[in-house]
Formats: sequence, structure tokens, C-alpha cells
Amino acid sequence: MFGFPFDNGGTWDGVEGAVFMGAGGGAGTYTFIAIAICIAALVIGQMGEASKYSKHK
Amino acid sequence: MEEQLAELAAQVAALEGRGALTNTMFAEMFYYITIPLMIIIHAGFLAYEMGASRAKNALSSGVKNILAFAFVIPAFYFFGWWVYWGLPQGFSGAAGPNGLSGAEFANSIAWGWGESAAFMGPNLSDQISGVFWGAFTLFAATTASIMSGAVIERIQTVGFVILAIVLGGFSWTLAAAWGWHADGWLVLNWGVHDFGAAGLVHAVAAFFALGVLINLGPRIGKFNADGSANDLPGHNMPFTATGLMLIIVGFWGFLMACVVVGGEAWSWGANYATIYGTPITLGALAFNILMSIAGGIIGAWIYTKDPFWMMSGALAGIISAASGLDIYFPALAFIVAFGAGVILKPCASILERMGIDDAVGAVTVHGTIGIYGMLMLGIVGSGYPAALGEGAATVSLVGQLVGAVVFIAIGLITGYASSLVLRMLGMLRVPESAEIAGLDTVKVPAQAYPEGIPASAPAAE
Repeated sequence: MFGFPFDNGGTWDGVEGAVFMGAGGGAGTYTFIAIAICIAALVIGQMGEASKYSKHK
Repeated sequence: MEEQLAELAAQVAALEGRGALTNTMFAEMFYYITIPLMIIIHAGFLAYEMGASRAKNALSSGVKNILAFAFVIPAFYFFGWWVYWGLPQGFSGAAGPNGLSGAEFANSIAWGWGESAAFMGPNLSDQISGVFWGAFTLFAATTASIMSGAVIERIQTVGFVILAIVLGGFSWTLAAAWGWHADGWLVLNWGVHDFGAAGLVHAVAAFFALGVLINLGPRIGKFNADGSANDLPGHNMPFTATGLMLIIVGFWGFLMACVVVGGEAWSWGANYATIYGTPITLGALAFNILMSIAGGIIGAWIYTKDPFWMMSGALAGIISAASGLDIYFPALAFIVAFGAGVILKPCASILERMGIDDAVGAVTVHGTIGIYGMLMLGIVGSGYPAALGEGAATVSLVGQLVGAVVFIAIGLITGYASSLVLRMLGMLRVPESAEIAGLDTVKVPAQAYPEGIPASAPAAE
């Protein structure tokens, strides 16, 4: 998941295609974590917002 | 047959010539466009600072910000450009292995006199120096604007301009020479990778500001006798939030200008590259800048619910991912930026508890988060080659840590020393009575709100 995703002696020579961290496997983990963060943020945000409204019912 | 072949060869040569000219014009246009885009950063900082000032200081904050922009430009022309090309190997001025640096090289291209002046003015044989210098000049001006917000409402104008010249002309440029140049010793020896200048622009400027703040002191009324802090809110939060959004717009130009266009004699190859020569696409920037903006905003919203900190979170999100925008996976950039948004306000509170009055949170947004971004890349990007070719140093946590320490030291030492000299000369802080009266009424021959902000006239029937 971390680090240079190519095993070619630590050089950019000959590198093509996807070059990001997690390329070739593991990148999806980041995506699922990011999705989880968004959902958690909405849940926490809603809880906070609801507590503000509770004083106005 | 021979005539046809000769005609064909001539047509191919003509096509090649047109193709080369088109590429040259594209490269020139590429950097030219980044300049007005980066000026949007300054429109943003202007609005941000004026809005964050109390009404009695709104215009004086604007004057200070505008003057920093105006003076950093000639300073970077006079000597900043030379620092970038002359000192990548250190103060010795030695030439680096790529043949793009050293005092002799800088002497030949970066002075506005003698033979090098040919590269410092209109030249039909040189379609890159002007626009490349222009882009770097806007980087320099950005450092001054970062520092500018931290010191509002109590710094003298000329003293501040001198600090802006030191920062924009020398401090950040030295950091760029060392860590943002293919011949830079931090790149060659330590594998420092800071593509979008999280450390060498943002952190250097922020720690320079911190050095100034130590000598400048807090605004009157900021801290109580027991050390507790008071909130001194600016007079126009919507103006400040809009300014922050403008800064974010401008940063697209800033980060675009961090890319080296391909296909020219001075290029790294046929395609786009980072300033280190490593490969990049503009698509990488689109993915990662947008995802990091979003992560920063959401992180700050979770913790603060405050539009000021949410927009600061957007900026912090970009800064936190800036070092590795070329190689981050977008979801990873989002995660890193989310972390930056969450820690932003607590870090600013820590600074305040230390007795530092940073009026706009610049030290935290640009400094703390800039360093956080550099170190995060050292963790998740470890092993990436920092330059082209075999034997290039690779990105590592230790290397990024060394780079971060050097950038902090450059900013802090130069900021502290130069502001100390100004303080000794009586050019740093405004008199107490002037600060209490408000700087607009003391020295600005214009009024921010001559009619107040009255309710508008009724609508026509």
C-alpha cells in the first residue's frame, strides 16, 4: 500500500502506467477508508446538528 | 523521383519546425497563464487580511499587503532569481552535477546587468526566462502574503515591507535552491521531495512569520494578565471566507507552475515533469488537489463547524498533500488532508496558549500543516526515487525530516534576526496610542466605510 510500487532498483527508468502509492493493489483500501470517513463525518455532523435543534422543539 | 523526395523532405522539415514552434509557444503560454492565476492568490490574501482586521485597521492591512506584492517583485528581479540558481549546492556557490546551478551559472543568466541581462528582458531567442521568472516571482510574493496575515494590526508598514523583501527575495528562495532544484543538496543527498512546496514555500513563510511574531508581540488586548487569550474577531467574516476561496482558486496556478513542460531544450524530456525531473501529469494534480480540498474542509468541519476554519481547512488540505501531489492516490490524499483539517484548530490553540498572537492562523495553516505534509509523504511515499536516473536518492521519512528541519531553520532564523534588527531600529511595531486609535485613522488617507454599512434603499415598486 505504501511506497514505490515498482521493483526495478529504485529508478524511474522504464516506469509506465499508474505510478501512485498502492498502484497494482491496495489502492482500493484507501478508497474504502475515504468513503468511511465521509459517512462518519455525515453521521457525526448530523448528531451535532440534531443537538442544536433539540433546544428549539 | 529525387525531386519528389527532396520536396517531401522539405515538407517534413517545415512540419517539424511548425511543431517545435507550437510546443515552444505552448510552453511559454503555460507559465504565462500561471501568473494571473497566482495573482488571484493575492486578491484572496488581500480580502482575507482586510476582513480579518478590525474595521479600524481594514485599509492599513490592505496597504501593507499590496506593498508587499509590489516590493517583492523587483526584489526577486534584483537578486532572488540569482539566489535560486546560484546556491543549490550551498553558500559556496559551487556548480551541481546537472550543470544548472552555481554562482558562475547564475551570473550568466540572473543579473539585470552585463551579459546576463540578455536573459532578464525581452529576447526573441528566449521564450522561457521571462515567464519562468514571472512564475517564481509569484511564488515569492505568496510567501510574503502568508507572513502578512499573521502580523496585522500592529506592524509598521516599511518595516513589514523590508521583512517581505528578505522572505520573498532570500529566505524561501534559498530553501527552493536547496530542496526544489535538481542540483539542490537536499534533493541529491537526502531525497527531499516537496513537489508543491509545502515546506519550502508554506513552512518557510510560516516559520519566518513566527520569528517575526516573537519580536513583534501580540496585539493590545489579545492576552490577559493571567495569560488567557481573548478573541479579536475581524470585522468581516464573509470577506475573509471569500478571500480564502480565492486563494484556493489561485493555488491551481501555483501548482501548475510547479510542473516543467516537456519537449523544449530546457525540458526534462518529451512530457511533463516535476521540478526534480520525475514524471507527472496534470491529471494527477486534478485528482489530488480536488480530493485534498474536500478532505481538509470535511476534517475542519467535523472539529469546528466554523466557516473560517473550514475554508482554512481547504487550504490546509492542499498544503498537506502538496509535497506528493504527483504520486498520491486521490483517496490517500483525501485521508491525509482530512487529518490536516482535524488537527488545524487544536494546533492553532496550542500556539495561542504559548502566547503567540497569529491573527489569521498562518503559522498553523502553512507551517504546522506544511511540515505535517512533508512528513506524511516521508511515511507513505518512502522509496520513490526523488530524481531521474540510477542511483538517485529516494524519498524517506528521515530525508523529509531533514528537509523539514532545514526549512524551519531557514524561516525562523531569518525571520527572527531581521525583525530583531528592525525592532532595535524602532521600525517594527507601531506606537501604542496609534494601535489603540486604529491604523487607518493614523496613516491611511481613505475611509473603509464612510457610510457605515447602512440598510439599502427600498426596492422600486
